Amino acid sequence: MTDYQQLVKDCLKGKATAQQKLYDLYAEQMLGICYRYTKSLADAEDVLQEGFVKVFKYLHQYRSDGELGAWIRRIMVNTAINYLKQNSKYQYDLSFTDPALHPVSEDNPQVYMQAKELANLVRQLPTGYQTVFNMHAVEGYTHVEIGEILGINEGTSRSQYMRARNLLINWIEKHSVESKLGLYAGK
Amino acid sequence: MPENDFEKQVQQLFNEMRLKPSAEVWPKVNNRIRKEKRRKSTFIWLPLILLLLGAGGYWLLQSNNSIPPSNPITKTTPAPGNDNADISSGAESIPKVNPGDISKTNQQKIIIEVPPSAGNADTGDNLNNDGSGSGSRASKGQRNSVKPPVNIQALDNTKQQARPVVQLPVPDNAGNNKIFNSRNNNLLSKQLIAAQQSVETRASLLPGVKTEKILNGITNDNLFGNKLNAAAETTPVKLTKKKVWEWGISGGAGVSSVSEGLFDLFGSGSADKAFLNAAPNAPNMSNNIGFLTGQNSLLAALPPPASTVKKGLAWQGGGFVKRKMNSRLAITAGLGYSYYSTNRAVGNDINNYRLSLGNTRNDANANYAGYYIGGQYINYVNRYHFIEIPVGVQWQLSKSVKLPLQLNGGLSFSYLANTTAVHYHPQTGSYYKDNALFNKMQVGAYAGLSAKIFEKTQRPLYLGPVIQYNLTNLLKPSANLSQHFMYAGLKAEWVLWKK
Repeated sequence: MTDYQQLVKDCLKGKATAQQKLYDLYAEQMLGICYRYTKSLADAEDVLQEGFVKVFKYLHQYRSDGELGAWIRRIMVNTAINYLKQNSKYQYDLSFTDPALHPVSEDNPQVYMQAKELANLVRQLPTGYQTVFNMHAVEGYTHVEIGEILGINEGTSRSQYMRARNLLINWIEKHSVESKLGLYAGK
Repeated sequence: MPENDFEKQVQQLFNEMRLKPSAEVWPKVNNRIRKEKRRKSTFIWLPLILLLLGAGGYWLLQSNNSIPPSNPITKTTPAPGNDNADISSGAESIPKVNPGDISKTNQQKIIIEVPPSAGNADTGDNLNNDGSGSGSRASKGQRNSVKPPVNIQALDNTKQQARPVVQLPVPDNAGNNKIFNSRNNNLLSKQLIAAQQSVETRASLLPGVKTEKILNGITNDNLFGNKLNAAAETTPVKLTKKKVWEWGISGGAGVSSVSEGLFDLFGSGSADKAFLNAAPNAPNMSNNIGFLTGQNSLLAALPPPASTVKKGLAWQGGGFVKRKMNSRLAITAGLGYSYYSTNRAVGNDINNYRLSLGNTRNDANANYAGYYIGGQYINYVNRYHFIEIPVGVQWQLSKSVKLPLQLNGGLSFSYLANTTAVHYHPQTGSYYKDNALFNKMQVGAYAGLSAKIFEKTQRPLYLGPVIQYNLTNLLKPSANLSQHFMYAGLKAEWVLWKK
């Protein structure tokens, strides 16, 4: 029996130490995910809290053959999406009213930036773009799946993603230029 | 460069992203987990506790019922003398001791008195050394051949249902009578047997508790035959869940009328007065009326008075729901259709002439469906169709098993869906229809008494009289008249479902 399996078993028995251990093990990684989906750290922590409550509530449904981290991650993503749907301040921004397709950007710039910097750029996207981008680019959902989860058309998802990607690339390039200028200026 | 290089880079960056949550998050998560756990355990334990309580209650009831209720003895039963056909056929004889020695003072008690020196013809053989007695005769189920030298006095009052207390004086070692009581009146037959048995045994060594033990082997058949068995039959107690919700259909029929106010209910009703007499929006037909009726202008200028509005038939139908709040109080609500009517005498129908009334006011609204010239010729039925929502309470007055009575009261909110009622036009003495003059929304108060019939069945019926008085004026304020609807009749409510 692996450590993880034992940990899950102990958590299922209701051992507080095991539960805290599980939380400590995954909280930082999961907060990174929640952070990408929300607009503020407080909201991200709310999602994290809600997500972990669900993790412990449904831990008995976890099958030990899969990776525990992936299972928790999936719960966090679903919790984040539900949070966006239920939270009024995200609802307006989450509306997907632009079904027009946008041309795929040919740009594939090298991302020379920290993860948090990139996450902050992603968080500057409108919530709809942000959500679709996170789900497709990072979590790997297909547009069909995204459409089903968010209740939108596949085409809408694709369109939102393209716009998000183009915007993000522009911002990254701009960020790179500014960084270089700053670098030169520093010299 | 492949298209998804950007995505790969992003994915890689974000997969490595870590953010340290604030210290408040874990305690919150922990609290919620504990709460969830407590709630879960409550959900698990609550049914178990309820189940146990239910089982305990059921067991208690069953144990109480396992001993048949006594048949209240209503008169003094002398000890059987030579006639012992029901008791024994034996030949042994025990001398009678104090046949009338049972106290008559306490009617709640059945006292079986056994004197300490009562017959010793059959003593030592039936007793063990500890005094408990082997009960060789009794335990073997042999017929007791001994006539009990007892006299039983029980309740004189046949209506008295209180549990009799059996007091069996048993002599202790000192020779004094000890009385042990049994609250359980169902043990009457056994106690009688005990008395018989104690006569046979050595009384000075017979503790009461042991006496009962001895007697356990003796069946009622052995001693008293079927008579006592029949009296000792039990009534099974049904443990059914108390149902608080009742749904059903309701209906009723009676008479309806209109009045000027509550005082009309008890005095001379305004039904005799003009109904709907002076509607201000009445069409101005004074110039045409003579023409229409062929009357001369003088007659037309002196119109006949409004005819009397008489009571009419009414009926109601609908559904109801009832929720019992406690053993006596219930809240009821319903939805139904009510038809009310009143009668009045009108003249000829001149509806055909209506189109010729060029100067009638409001004619463009087409409110006036017909006109009747005043005159006592034709009976006209004013029909009213209401949709009603009665909301009220039901109070159980008596808990009579045969016919429980309920007092009903509440408010009825109704909507006048349609009416064919006519208004009286005092200037012309004619009658005309104008539904716009009616208050469509009505609020009434109702009260009634109902008896619950077939109470023991799954679908009981409530039946009784009901009166209703509409607090809202039937006419709009513009009519400047006070008219209130009244209804009196019989109402039935049939419960179809209970939950």
